[in-house]
Amino acid sequence: MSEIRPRDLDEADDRTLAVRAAEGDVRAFEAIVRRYGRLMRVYARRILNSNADVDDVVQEAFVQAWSKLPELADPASVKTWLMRIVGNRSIDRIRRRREHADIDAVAEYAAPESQSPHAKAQAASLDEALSRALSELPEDQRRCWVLREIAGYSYIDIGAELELPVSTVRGLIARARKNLIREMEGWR
Amino acid sequence: MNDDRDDLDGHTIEELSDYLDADRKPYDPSIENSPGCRIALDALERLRSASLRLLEAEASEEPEPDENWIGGILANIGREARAGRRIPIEHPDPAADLGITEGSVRGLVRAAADTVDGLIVGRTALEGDVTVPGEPITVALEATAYFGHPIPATTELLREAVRSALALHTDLLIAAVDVTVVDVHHAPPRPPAGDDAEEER
Amino acid sequence: MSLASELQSVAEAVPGVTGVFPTLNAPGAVIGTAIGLVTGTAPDAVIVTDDDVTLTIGVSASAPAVATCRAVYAALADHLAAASLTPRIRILVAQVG
Repeated sequence: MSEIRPRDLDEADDRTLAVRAAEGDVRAFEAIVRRYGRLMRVYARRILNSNADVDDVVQEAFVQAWSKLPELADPASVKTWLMRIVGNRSIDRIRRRREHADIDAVAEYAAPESQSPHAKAQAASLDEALSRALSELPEDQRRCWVLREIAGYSYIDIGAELELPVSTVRGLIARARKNLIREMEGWR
Repeated sequence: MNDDRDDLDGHTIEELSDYLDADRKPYDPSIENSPGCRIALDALERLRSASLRLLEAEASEEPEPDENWIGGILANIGREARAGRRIPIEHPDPAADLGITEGSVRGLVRAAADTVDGLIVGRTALEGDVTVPGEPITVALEATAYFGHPIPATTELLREAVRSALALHTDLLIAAVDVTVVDVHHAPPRPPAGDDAEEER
Repeated sequence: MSLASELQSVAEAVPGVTGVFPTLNAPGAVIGTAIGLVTGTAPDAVIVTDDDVTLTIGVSASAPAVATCRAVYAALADHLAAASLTPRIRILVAQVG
């Protein structure tokens, strides 16, 4: 309708996009979704360890992010802030899954194997080793580790989210680290 | 976990994890002076730095989200929440109760600003009581400027574009358009010159 | 055709109007929504009570927003006057472009 060609927002920095979206600019919000949609999806997949709910969880997280954007104190940190929301929504989903004992949804995701042989050959070997090792961790260790190392949660927050005592969280993360290091490089 | 203690001089990997989480503070000589502990700490740190890289690498392999999925998000966001204040539109007929939302006025300020090359506007604010007709209003804008565009000339173009859009669309009495340049960036890459014709389509 | 949908057509026919949207918090809006829930129909975009006609519009970026809003008012007032109705007409521009 408008004869004004809309400015391409894809190259705007995070801060500008987040400020504009907080003020109601839907196009700026769409640019954020396009910029971080993939990262949020792989992140949710890591926490859920399944493809099953990734679409829904990340969609819900973005819708929630839109309504909470005006509260974001530092718009430049929109990426980590989004990861936090995606993390929370993923954990909510796991809880509900557990309540419904929906075991089928779990374990359908095999991380590194989904990559093409070509991509695999190109991937840095350390990352690849980590990716493989991570997918072989016991469920509870992996979840705690992802929240700690990728989402930057505190032990207390992880305990609250997963309804585990902090001492258990600490133990699970230590064991996860030990297993990962052993798998990756055999540190001893 | 008895194998933890093998060559960690009495420490466990759990303790080393905590120590690393505390940014290796307070300094613990019994850890720092143990070759076994140092090796383990290095490995833990490499693990940590690999973790976010791993996610970014996976994201770059992830297919672009499909348009339906993005559309599903955009269809579900509550747009009316950002309406802001109700700006009255005067009318001689007392039966008329007309207005325009502050949110849509900010939207047209952004649209006008987006026609100006050399910067991109972030925050837009209408300062003053917009709910009182005839009240002088200051438009406060924050912008990121791009290198290679003279800032005074560019911001002047921005002021003019915003003023004329507000004059066209609203009855607001604009006292000033204040532009604060909050950042200077390299310009986003432009499409090659040959694409201009197509772009104007 | 209900008066509400008549008025919606009148508003939509005004040059520069891109749409008529349901108004939140309008007098009568809660009742309209409740009726919609019971009958399974979408609530009317234009809300009509004995005293008020309430609507929210979008305006094209190429049409002057305030002038378009006044033009919608004039069109609705004419239409209502033809039926000897003189309610208060409340119009909000909530989207430009």
